[in-house]
Order: sequence, then C-alpha cells, then structure tokens
Amino acid sequence: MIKNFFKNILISYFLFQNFCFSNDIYPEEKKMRALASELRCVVCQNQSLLESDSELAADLKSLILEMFQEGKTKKEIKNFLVERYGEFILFRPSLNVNNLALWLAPVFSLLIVSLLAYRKLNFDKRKN
Amino acid sequence: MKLIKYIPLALFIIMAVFFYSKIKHQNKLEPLSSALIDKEFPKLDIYNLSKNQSINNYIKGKPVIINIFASWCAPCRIEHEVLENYSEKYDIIGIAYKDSEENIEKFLEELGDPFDNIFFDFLGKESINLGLYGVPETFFLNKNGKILYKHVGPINKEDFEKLAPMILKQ
Repeated sequence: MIKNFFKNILISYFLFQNFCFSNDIYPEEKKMRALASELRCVVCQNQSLLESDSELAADLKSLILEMFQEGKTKKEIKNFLVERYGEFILFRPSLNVNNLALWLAPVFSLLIVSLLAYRKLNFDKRKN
Repeated sequence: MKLIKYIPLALFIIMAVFFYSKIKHQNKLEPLSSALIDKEFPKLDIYNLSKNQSINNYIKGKPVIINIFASWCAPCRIEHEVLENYSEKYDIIGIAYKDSEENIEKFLEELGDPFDNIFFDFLGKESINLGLYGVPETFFLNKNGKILYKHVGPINKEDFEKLAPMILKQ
C-alpha cells in the first residue's frame, strides 16, 4: 500500500515537473518570446528571432527583454527595431503607402474572381 | 460582355509585366540595404580606450568612414589591407566589436593600424543601434554626420574606390 503510494508520487512528479518549470517564466520573458516570434532573424532569414541560434539573434532577444524590463511597450520596441533594421525585420508588414499594393492584392483578386463567378453563374442561369 | 473573358489574360499580362519590372529593378539594388541610410548617425554609448572621447564627439563636423571589425573575424583580415591603403587619404575609424583590448592590439600589430581612432563596443549591444548584421561592416558618413552608405561584409578595393569619394562631395 505504502509502496504503491510512493510509486504514484514518483510517477506524478516526473509527469508534472515540467509544468512547474513552465510557470517560472517571468512575464517579461513571455512577452519577449511572443515578440521574438513575430520578428525575422536578419542573419538566418527563414527563421524567427525566437527560433534562431545566431549570436545577433541572442543579442537582440536579450535587448528586447531588457527593454520590456525597463517598461517599454511592444510597439515602442518594434519601432526601435524597424528604425534600425527596416520593415524587413517584421514577419507581418505594417499597413502603409509602400505596402498598400501588398495588402490590397488579395482583396482586389477576390473582387475580380467574385465578379467573374457572378457573371458566369448568371450566364448559366439564363442559358437554362 | 464579350470583353470579360479577356480579363484573366489581361491580368496575366499586367502581373507578368509587374513581376518582370520588379526582377529587373532588383538587380540594381544593393544586396543588404540599411534603414539608416540618409539618416543621422545614431547616438552611441561607446568610447575610445582612454574613455575621454565618445564616437559621436569624434565624428562631429568631418567626413569619416567607420569600420566595425573584430580580431576574431576572418573576413576582417581580408579587408584590412584595403583600409590600410586608404588610411592616409580618408579619416577611417574603427569600432571593435565584442573584442578585448589585448586582442585588438595584437591584431593591429600584425596587420597594421589604418584607424585614426578606435572605439570599443565590448558587449556588442551598441552596434545594434547601427543595424548591424555581422562583422565586418563599413559606414560612409559625410561631414554632417549623415550615413550615406553602409557596406555589409568585407569591402574590396573597387567598392572602396567607388564609395569613399562621395563622403567628401556631400
């Protein structure tokens, strides 16, 4: 009985110990991880800053963490990085005049396809 | 109504022309541009070894070429000769990136010292303000402290000859 009890305790410990560690992450670190996942590593360009192991990515991540700890907002940190590395560092480009075509292209395409589909359906109806 | 069936073809032609012009234009662009071009050199918290001069004070009012380098960086050794060749003609200053004073001294003793002054970014955090991708990088600044160009990677003689004169003109 006692043996089983200790066995269960031991199994539970190994099963759930990771959850304890996950709760140890400080809120600033959570914020840093969330922001780093939205940013491109400028060295390994197909990886996010969070995934990248490059030296520069490590420096940028620690800088972002420091800035969060100083009380800077996500928007301020993003602006800081865009001023230095350009919009290229953002995985999701911001909506501005330069990127307008990029943002409107899907809507524009959808409108054209919808128009064609509507005309085609009407044509088929009239035919029937 | 009949014209509508030509819309996909027209769209295809428009997109083909658009992408072709983009690809053609891309050849003219530099491989790694910088968001800091045409902007003022940012304020950096880095000093020379005797700590009596900040980089911002030093570059005030004169055209300079700023080279970010490190003794542990192999490509920096390759470009060092180019900097040496033009050290008389231009005011070249160095930013030692994540390096120690001893290693920099040894590096310059071995390869020569093209720098008028060297500033130390021991932790590498200040160089992030310059949008650093990696060492070496070379910045060309006019006398107003405006960044005219940034060269990423080791600079060769041809590029240096092409780029350096513009800091004196503007």
